[in-house]
Order: sequence, then C-alpha cells, then structure tokens
Amino acid sequence: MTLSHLWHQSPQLAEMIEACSVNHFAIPTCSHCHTRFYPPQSWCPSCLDESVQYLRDDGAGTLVSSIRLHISFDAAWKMRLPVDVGCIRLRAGISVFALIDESSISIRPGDDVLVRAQPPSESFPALLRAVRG
Amino acid sequence: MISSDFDRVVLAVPTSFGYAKHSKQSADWFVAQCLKRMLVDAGIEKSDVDGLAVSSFTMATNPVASLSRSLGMSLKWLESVPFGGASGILALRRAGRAVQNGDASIVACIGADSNPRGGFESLVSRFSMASEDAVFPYGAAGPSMPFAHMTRQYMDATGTSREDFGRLCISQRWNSSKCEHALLRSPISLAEYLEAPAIAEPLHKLDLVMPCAGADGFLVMSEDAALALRLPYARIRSLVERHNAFADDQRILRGGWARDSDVFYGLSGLRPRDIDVLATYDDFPVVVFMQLEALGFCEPGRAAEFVRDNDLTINGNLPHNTSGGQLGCGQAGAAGGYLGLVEILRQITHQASGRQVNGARIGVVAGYGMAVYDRCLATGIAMLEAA
Repeated sequence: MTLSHLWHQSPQLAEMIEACSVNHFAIPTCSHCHTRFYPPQSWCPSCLDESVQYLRDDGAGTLVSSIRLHISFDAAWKMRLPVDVGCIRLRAGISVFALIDESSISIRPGDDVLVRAQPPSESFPALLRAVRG
Repeated sequence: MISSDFDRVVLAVPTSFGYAKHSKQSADWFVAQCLKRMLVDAGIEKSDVDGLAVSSFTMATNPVASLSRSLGMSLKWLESVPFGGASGILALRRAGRAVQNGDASIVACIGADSNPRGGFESLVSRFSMASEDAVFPYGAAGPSMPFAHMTRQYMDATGTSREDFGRLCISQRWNSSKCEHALLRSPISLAEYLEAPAIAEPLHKLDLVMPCAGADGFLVMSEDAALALRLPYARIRSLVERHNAFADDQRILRGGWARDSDVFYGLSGLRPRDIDVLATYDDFPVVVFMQLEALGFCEPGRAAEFVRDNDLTINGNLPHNTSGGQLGCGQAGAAGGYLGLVEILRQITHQASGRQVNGARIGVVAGYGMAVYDRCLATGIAMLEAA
C-alpha cells in the first residue's frame, strides 16, 4: 500500500491538519483582515498579510456537486473504489472537496452537509469527510 | 482600428512532431526535433532564429534557460511560457511583442512534453501545491476529479446530457480520422461513447484525452521576413489574455473568455458568424461547451442545443477542432496548448492537406490552462487571418 499524497503535503496543510486534530475542523483565516480561504497557504490572498490562523469552524455547508471515482493512481485508493467525492460550499464562504462518507452517499446537491476532518491515515487516506447535515 | 495592434507581425510554419502514446525521450529532445523540422520547412538556418518561447511540464530538470546551450543557439530573447492549455496563445502574444519591438527577428514557439510510462501519474500528483493539498488526497485521480465536478455542475445548471457531450466527441473523432498525427483515428458512435467505462462519473473514458508525448510549434516573424522567405503566413487580428477570471464563482460555468470576448471581437471588428474555422481547448467536453458560449456561438447554457443543431466536422457549417483536438490527437502535455493554434494556422494558410476547410481565411483559437485546485486559471483567445 502506498499513501504517496501524504509525503507531498505542504507545511501549511500540515498546520491545518494539526489544527483540525485539536479543533475538529479549522479553516485558514487571516489574522489581519479575517479573510477565510482554502487551500491553505502562508499568506492571505486578500491583504497578503503573513499571519494566518487556523480557526475552528462547525463545518456546516451545502453540497454543490458529487461525483463517483472509478479510477485512482494510488494503491491506497484503488482498494476503496468506487468512492464519492463532494464539492461543498461551507457557510464560512469557502469551497472544499471532501470524501462523502459511506453513510451519506444518498445526499444530493443542495442538501445540508457537515464537513469533518481527521488526520490522513492508511485506514482513511484523506483529510476531509462529508456527512449528511 | 486596433487590429493593427500586431501590425506587420505574422506567424508561419505550423509544425506537429512526434506524437506517440509513450516516449523515453526527454521534453528537450522533442523541442529540438520540432525546431529541426520547423527550420527545414521554413528553409532557414538555426542561426536565423534569435528568439525562443517554450512551454513544457516535464522539462523541469533541464530548465528552459538550458535550451540555448543544448540547442546550440545564441538567443536574443528566451521565454518560458508555463500556462498549460493557454500556452500557445500566450506564447504568440509574447513573441509577437518581441518581434514588434525589435527584441527578436524570428521567434520559434514550441510546446513539447514527453510521456514515459507512469509519467502522467507522476505529473498530476505534483501539479501544484494546491492540487497536492486539496485535490490529490481525494481519490488521487488527477484532473478528472475536479473536472468531473465542473461537468456535473454544468449538467445540473443547463440540463445538458451525456448524449450532448457525446455528439461533440463524435465530431472530433471523425475529424481526427483525417489527421495524420492523431493517435486516435477511429471514428466512434454514440453507443460506443455512452457505453465507455466510467472514470469519474459523469465522465467516462471517451470524455478524457489520452496523455501522450509530442510537440507543436510555429514561427513568429515580421511580415517582410515571411514574404522574403516565401512562407504562407497568417496575421494576428485579435488576441486577449486573462488570468483568474470570475474567482468568486461558486459553480464553475464559465471561464475568462466570457469576460473578454466583447473586447476580443471589438479588436477584430468581426463577429462569430465571420469565423471559418474554430479551435477550442478540449481537455474535457464541458470546457468546449463553455467556450462555445463565451465566444458567442450561442447563449450561456445553450451549447448542447448548438452542438445538436450544427455540424462541427471538417465539412460542416462550423469546422471545429479539425485535427480532432486533444480528444483525437492525444494530450502531449503543454503541446496540447499549441495544438489548436497550430491547426488553425495550418487551415488558414491552406496546409491542412486531407482535412483542409475550403476557403478558410479567418480562424479563432481559445485556450484554457493550468488547473489549480478546482479550475484552470489562464485563458486566451486569438483570431488569425490569412494574408
């Protein structure tokens, strides 16, 4: 089994993962102008300030679209196929991709969802997971 | 009249080289061999070329700066143009300005990439930091995942069906059957399209381009130089460029072409009905649909109807992606960002041999490049006119 994506994450994603493990779910947020953004980076895309915090969020949002993957380049994923991936618009104003939990594969665009985070592992090789809200 | 914006600057010598599903040769080798062919076709010496613009994803260990040495050239102007599917148009813009301003006299613009076995998987897994952090960890499926979302969002918003996308793919595969360097030359039926294996639903196998190796390129020079060399050439009637348009769109139903098409047509003084041959960037069918709308061939959300009601094959009323595009030729990395431009140049200079569009004089090419997270960021549109 390989989890190649684990070895190529940015330092900023590592910080976000660490914040998520403490706070359940956290969003990169500019300390200066309070802009929330994603994917994580070490400066604010709005005011360019370099003080970025990872602030707790309830992960509530709406499913924009869902797709079903039948292929993967990664052995860790191949054994799980097919998997559903959602595009979720969080109430916090950012959009994320998240694995749709097996318990929630019947959700449809427009449905309320909750995004949850957990550190990637061999048993769950993703950071974000979406469940019915 | 701003159509003289690129006054007396032309492009010539459309060149495609070395299309193959896999190759052990490096991207530099493809650049060198494409250049060699261009020099032969132009009837010039290597020393006559004093400018070079190169686009490549896989040349990282040998940066573009190293090419002057490996190609044995002393250049006055050298540019890396790393914009994926918009690279050809953006290279043309930069090279045109260089010639216009006297920074170079003849610029070779080349997109080239290799594709060793496993190369595509390696490329997409490290495509950008945003993709590594926020796309790859969700199934490790490359660009198919975010573009499947784009496709689904477009289908939900417009009512477009798989059959509608299938009609486009069928027309391009018919065109590629007439193209000597296309790797996928067998026409397909709607049944074959619909029954193809699912990849990232709603995307199925025949919605996806086949990664491959290859190179495409052209020369940019003054009109006087082209006349002296007796080369068939084309003028640049209009060209626009945009990065990160509509950044706040929650659903991705349009690209930068929509923001700039009024300026684009205003610069040209022409309208969509004046276009003889069209090339859109076709990494996924939904992107073609968005371009047809943005370029004014139909209203937003009505591309399915347009494709149903019009013939996009070589002999049709709107010849489109006449080489078969990437869906027919394959996607040779950044060369895919030159493929459409090179084909338009070939068509309007009447060098398209067995697939020539009769009387083609005005061609438009659109580009879409560099998938970062959930969309591509760079767009461009160019209108070329026969001399």
